[in-house]
Amino acid sequence: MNYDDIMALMQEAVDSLYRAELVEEAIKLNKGTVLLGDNSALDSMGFVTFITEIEERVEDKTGIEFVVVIDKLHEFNEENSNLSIGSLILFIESEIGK
Amino acid sequence: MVNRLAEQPDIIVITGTSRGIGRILAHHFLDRGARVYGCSRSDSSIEDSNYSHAIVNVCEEVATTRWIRGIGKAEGQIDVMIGNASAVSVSTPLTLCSGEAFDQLFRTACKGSFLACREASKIMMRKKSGRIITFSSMAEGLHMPGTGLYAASKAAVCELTRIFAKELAGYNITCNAIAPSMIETEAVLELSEKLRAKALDSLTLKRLLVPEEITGLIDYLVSPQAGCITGQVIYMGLVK
Repeated sequence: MNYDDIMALMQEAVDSLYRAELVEEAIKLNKGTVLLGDNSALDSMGFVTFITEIEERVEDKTGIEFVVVIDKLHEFNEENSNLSIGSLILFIESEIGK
Repeated sequence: MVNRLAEQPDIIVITGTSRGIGRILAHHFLDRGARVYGCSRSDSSIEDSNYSHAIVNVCEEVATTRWIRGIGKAEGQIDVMIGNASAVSVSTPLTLCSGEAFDQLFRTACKGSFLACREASKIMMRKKSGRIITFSSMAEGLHMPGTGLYAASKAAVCELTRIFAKELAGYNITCNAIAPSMIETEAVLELSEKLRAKALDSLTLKRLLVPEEITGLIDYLVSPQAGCITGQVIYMGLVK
């Protein structure tokens, strides 16, 4: 999966959460969309459901067991106080590339 | 939710089903027509077409995550998660307890409950529905010498349960802990005679619990009528 594939997968994920009324507003993602931190598009539990959805979709697409653990995510993103979609995509690319 | 039990089986996940309360609960829900997924570190002798057993040590993150996610994928939902797996502890004063004993008890009781509930809650959140029940113990309420590590690990389970309850309240998921007094299980029989007598004496109701008292409480907690009960620790047989 490349950057664009992962972005598309994330948009599908957030759209499905919106349809299931698990997030309150429709969100058009771009690489600067903040997921955790100031002006986050999701609340903390919305973030959990989003990540869960991503884990399952990545696993379905790649066959690779994929689990996001917040410590690993912080470690990957330690230079930024916010977690953006762009950073999450890079994280996923690095994890599935291992 | 569980009012569907008569028409279609609900999906019940129970940790620690090879013996004791976990095994009793598995049979209880199977008798009611539910689909039950159980796990333990060893094999199970439960034979029922609606029962699936996995050999999983719940304190191992990857194995527990994989097991519960597999259930989520197979069933699309988990209605009830019962975190029952626990370690047996012999009576030892804290001054003589090893760090290894501490790690073992906290891993099984606390980390095991945490991991199982964490993964089940993610599946329940998507359905905006679920019931989580964890097991604490009378030891947490009695503060008896010799039970320090065990009681502390069970107190940690109570606190995890309360915070899960707050975090998941918006998703129609309730989380409650049960702190039963003594029921005649292998774990209780491993306590020394003296400690058992002392424990019974320290209880408000000085008798062993019967399995129906535990299954009855759980039936209530998973029922629609208990939808407003969350974040509670329910002590059975004692006043804390």
